[in-house]
Amino acid sequence: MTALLTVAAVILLKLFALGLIRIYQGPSESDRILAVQLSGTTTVGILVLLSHVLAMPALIYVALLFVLFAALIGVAFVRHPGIGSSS
Amino acid sequence: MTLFDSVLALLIAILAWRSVTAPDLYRGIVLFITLGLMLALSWARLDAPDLALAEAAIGAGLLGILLLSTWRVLQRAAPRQGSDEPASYAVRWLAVVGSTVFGGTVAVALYGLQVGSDRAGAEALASLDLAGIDQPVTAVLLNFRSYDTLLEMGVLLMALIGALLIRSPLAYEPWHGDTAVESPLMSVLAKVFTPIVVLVGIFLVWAGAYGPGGAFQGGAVLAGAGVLLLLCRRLYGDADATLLLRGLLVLGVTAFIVIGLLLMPWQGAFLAYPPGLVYVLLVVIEFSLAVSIALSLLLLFTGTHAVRAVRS
Amino acid sequence: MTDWISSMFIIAGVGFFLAGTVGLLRFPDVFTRLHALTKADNTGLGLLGVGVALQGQSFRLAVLIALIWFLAVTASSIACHLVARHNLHSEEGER
Repeated sequence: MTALLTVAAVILLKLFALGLIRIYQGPSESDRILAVQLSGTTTVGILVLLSHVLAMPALIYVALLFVLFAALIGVAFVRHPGIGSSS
Repeated sequence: MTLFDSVLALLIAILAWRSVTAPDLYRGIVLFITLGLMLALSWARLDAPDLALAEAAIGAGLLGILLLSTWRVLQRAAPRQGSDEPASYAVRWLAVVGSTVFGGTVAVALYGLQVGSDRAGAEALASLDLAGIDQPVTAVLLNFRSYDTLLEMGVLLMALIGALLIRSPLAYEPWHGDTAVESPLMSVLAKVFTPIVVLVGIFLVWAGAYGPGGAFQGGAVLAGAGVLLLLCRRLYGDADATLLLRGLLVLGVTAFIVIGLLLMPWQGAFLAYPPGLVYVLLVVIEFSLAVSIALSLLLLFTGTHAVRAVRS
Repeated sequence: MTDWISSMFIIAGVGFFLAGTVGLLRFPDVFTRLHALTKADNTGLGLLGVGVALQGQSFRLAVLIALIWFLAVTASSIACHLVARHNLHSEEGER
């Protein structure tokens, strides 16, 4: 069973590498940030698998942090933090 | 697992290389964030979940958000300046010579290094009973090596003071306008997401007592909650710091020193804790450190002396 | 028996990740790519999580995975909405 989980983790890592092509090609800024969002989710998937394969429950918390910060990165991408009050 | 590790190593090398050679700032930032994801995985493979947590919270998370926000400000402030021009040949050669000399010196120093048996780690693990706390990393950080951690807090304060002196604020004044990206979901984020982020942050600080986690990771997550509120326009940077806020900034260092000094008459040494109380004291220190770390990181993000809530 | 069910879930989950990545690479514009992305986020991670939770056989792990999945769904839908909106506005700005 561990073998299947390991194979799944390797496949996800390769999908992550494939997703990088979209970061490389773009063309727009939105395309690139979408690719980052997908690679974030893929990493979360890998971490969930690894936490079981490596018997490291703490990796679930790492996955949790990535999920939380993925939302913040999405917001930071569209949001201007606000220098000057209106423009 | 070997296949996983080799793909991971290859990806890290490629991403690191591409993120410094990216043709523009934005692509560099995006690649840096994905590099952070891979680094966290590599820490997981190296059996270091504490570092994976720190990497996720600080490396990929907070730093990525700070870089993206800075990029947005730069974009609006100056559309395109000549800063993309390569440096002159003299400067480049100087950099080549300088880094070669530095690299050579480090290589020579490493070559001459006598690698002793790695006793410190084994000794720390063997005397874990004395630390009064089950989690080895926290025991080392807050008990065996507490001087280091105390000084690290000083370094963080110095970094904040330095940053406030030289950089222009990123988030300043309450926000008006910018309806172009105003979305009703922003208030959902502020109301629903922020409490969850705060909860996870507090949990991570608490978890440091018995498992991976601790003041730095938890503090960074708490700072993330503050950043989220800033981006949702619930908080804004302010120039005047209150005494309370400054007090919170130095709370970690103060708690560390005061507890250390107060116990000196009984323990005979600075930063030595009585065995029975050690758990309680370390949790108190850990939470005060986390508050200071969170606030410092938040102010490093805004670049201002204080933050204030928007009154509606 | 549990092993079989959990394998099915994990294989299906990886399948959705594959579909999401292929969609991200092959679809013609940002909005269609968004659509591919959310499938991987929501369904892929969800199925994977169920598979691992079945393997883990612990209530605590299952709750944590459910929390991650819930947050991922919320986060990705909000982030994708914001990116789409941003893209729409910046395209209008260019015209």
